[in-house]
Amino acid sequence: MMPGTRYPPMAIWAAREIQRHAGRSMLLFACLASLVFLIATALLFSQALDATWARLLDQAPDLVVRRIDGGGWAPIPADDAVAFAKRVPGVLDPTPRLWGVVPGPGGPVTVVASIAVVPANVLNGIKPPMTGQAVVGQGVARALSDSRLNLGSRQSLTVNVVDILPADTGLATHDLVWMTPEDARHLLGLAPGQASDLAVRLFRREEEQAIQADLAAAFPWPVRITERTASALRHHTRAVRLGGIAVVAGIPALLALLLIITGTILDNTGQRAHWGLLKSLGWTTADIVRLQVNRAMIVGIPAVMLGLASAYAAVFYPPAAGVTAFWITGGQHLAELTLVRSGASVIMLEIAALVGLPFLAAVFLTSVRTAARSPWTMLQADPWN
Amino acid sequence: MELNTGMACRRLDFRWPGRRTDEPLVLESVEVKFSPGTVSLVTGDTGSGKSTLLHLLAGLLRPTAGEVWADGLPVSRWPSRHRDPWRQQVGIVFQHLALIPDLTVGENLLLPMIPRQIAWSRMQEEILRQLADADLSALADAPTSALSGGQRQRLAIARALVARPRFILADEPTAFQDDCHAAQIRAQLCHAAHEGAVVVICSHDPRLRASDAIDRRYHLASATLTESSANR
Amino acid sequence: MNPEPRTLTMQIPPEERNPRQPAPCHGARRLLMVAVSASVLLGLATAADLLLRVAPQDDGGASIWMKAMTLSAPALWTAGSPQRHPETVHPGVDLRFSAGLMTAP
Repeated sequence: MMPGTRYPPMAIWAAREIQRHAGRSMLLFACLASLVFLIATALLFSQALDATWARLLDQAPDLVVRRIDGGGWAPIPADDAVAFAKRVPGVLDPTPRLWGVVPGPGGPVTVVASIAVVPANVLNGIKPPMTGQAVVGQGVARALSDSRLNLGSRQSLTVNVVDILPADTGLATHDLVWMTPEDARHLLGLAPGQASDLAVRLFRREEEQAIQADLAAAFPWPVRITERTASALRHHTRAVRLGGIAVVAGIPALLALLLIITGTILDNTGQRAHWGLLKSLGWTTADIVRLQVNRAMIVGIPAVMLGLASAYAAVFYPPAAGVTAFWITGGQHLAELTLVRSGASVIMLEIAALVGLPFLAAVFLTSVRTAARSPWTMLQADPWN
Repeated sequence: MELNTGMACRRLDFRWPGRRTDEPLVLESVEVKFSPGTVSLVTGDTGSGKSTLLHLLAGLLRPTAGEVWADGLPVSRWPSRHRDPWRQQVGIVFQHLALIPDLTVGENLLLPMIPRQIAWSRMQEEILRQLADADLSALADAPTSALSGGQRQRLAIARALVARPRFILADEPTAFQDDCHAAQIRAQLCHAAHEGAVVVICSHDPRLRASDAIDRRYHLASATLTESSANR
Repeated sequence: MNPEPRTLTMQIPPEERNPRQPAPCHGARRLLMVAVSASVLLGLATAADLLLRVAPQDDGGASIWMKAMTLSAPALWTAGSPQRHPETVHPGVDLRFSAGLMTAP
């Protein structure tokens, strides 16, 4: 079987033309692939980051109630606060939180204590800390020289680090120091029975705004209520801004595309004599344009596909994704990012169109303009004349 | 004038575009008909306008006045979008050959066939046939740049004939050939004419002027084309 | 004598009867085949991965710990910053003239 019969002769000849200008074609392929890779990586990363943050924030409490006084925030009586919150219809599972920010050996750390028992499936083999012990996140562990951790606030406390939280939980636990409620209260200067604030879940999340007034009125002291959606919006804005910055940073890449297009135009102009010969041999303007578009597609489509696939792998496949996260965030190690199928598909299609269409349009328009000239005029540029 | 078949010039004038109108014409009132099945030879001094006449007949140039008719159609008046596809019926041999040096001999022959919607296998068969006729079968895979002048010229003729065009226009087709190959080229062109093609040759070559294979002879001088009945 | 060989010849496709091609363009056809198959493979691989990742991904347990510790925000900013602890933002008057500085800790 002759394989040539599988492809139209015009496509075979377009491939032959690519072979004739192998260096230029390789350069074009590399430029297109890297341009697509750079833009797609940045946009897919910001979109995946947005999805990952949204997924994490989905686990955050809907509302956080903090008691305030003239000097700022004040500790909250845990049992009373739970009782007051439960009176408000639509409030689920009010949980007093014990947490605070204290100076650690490598900078401020987030001290947390869980009043409730942490389920075994969460612990996954990690022993909960006993009095005088702490379980720390990767960021805190890195700053330790031995297993003793000195934390200083109103009161100073030295705890023995008995375990380190897994690296893949880093998005939530990187700077955490998990200790017993007694140690946390001692460190944060809280009296027994007091908590830092009260976390609340709602029966209907969409009531987040509406329920705040009822909730504030249910407490006998002034409170400040922060909502999850405000935080989620801030994170979303930040992710979008990151994507925007990436696109702005992609301007040089777009300039590179412009250069590619200019190169293509110059290439076409240089081929005027060749096209004049083709016309004298019976090629029409449409044939020449078809040849050039075929040629552009044989180089362009694999380049765009390679750029997109590499960007996809660089963002969503762990070993490469770690490198990408390190590169884009300037040193952070992120766990695997969340893939939102529709969002990623739209971004990839958009980028394919953003790069592919101007390229094909440039090839098409310049080819039409040059090939439509009189064959005699074009032949005059040939080396034989 | 009967304009139904073949190729004809009707009061054809040509002056290079951009030249002043008081400058002499390159071709003036050319009135000629080239019939199918005949081999016509146009002779003339260097610079007399023979190549220009061929380019006008091939639809590469437009006449300043008058018309070129092909098979009863005024092709010189046609816009490019109609004239370009018509050019598929023309096989032209340039004086400078215009081969693509980095392509192989076979690939140069493939060039006119690509846009003609012919099956790949048939293209290869046609190329094989032309290579055999041009005595180039052993050189199918050789790059054109490796050929001698005579071989290149035979390749240019093969390229003009490979798609079996209706009109064959050859500019100095035997200039670099030995007697044997010149006779071979004459035979090729005669064969094409016998198959119904219109063959117009512009040449200085005395071997062609003396050849019996030429059916009609014309002489171009002072921008005017005249038919000469004599063989010399 | 035996008409079979002629019959056989008629059945062989013209390409195989005449295997010699004067302008085969082998390299060009290989290039075209590589370009088409690479594009299709890359496209299919990406599309398949997109489609097959239907189940929510494991984010390494970060969200489980977020829930277990009732954390308000992921650890993407340093401890003490308002992004890390949005509940600590002071309930002061909104300073409208400080546009652009809102992200400062």
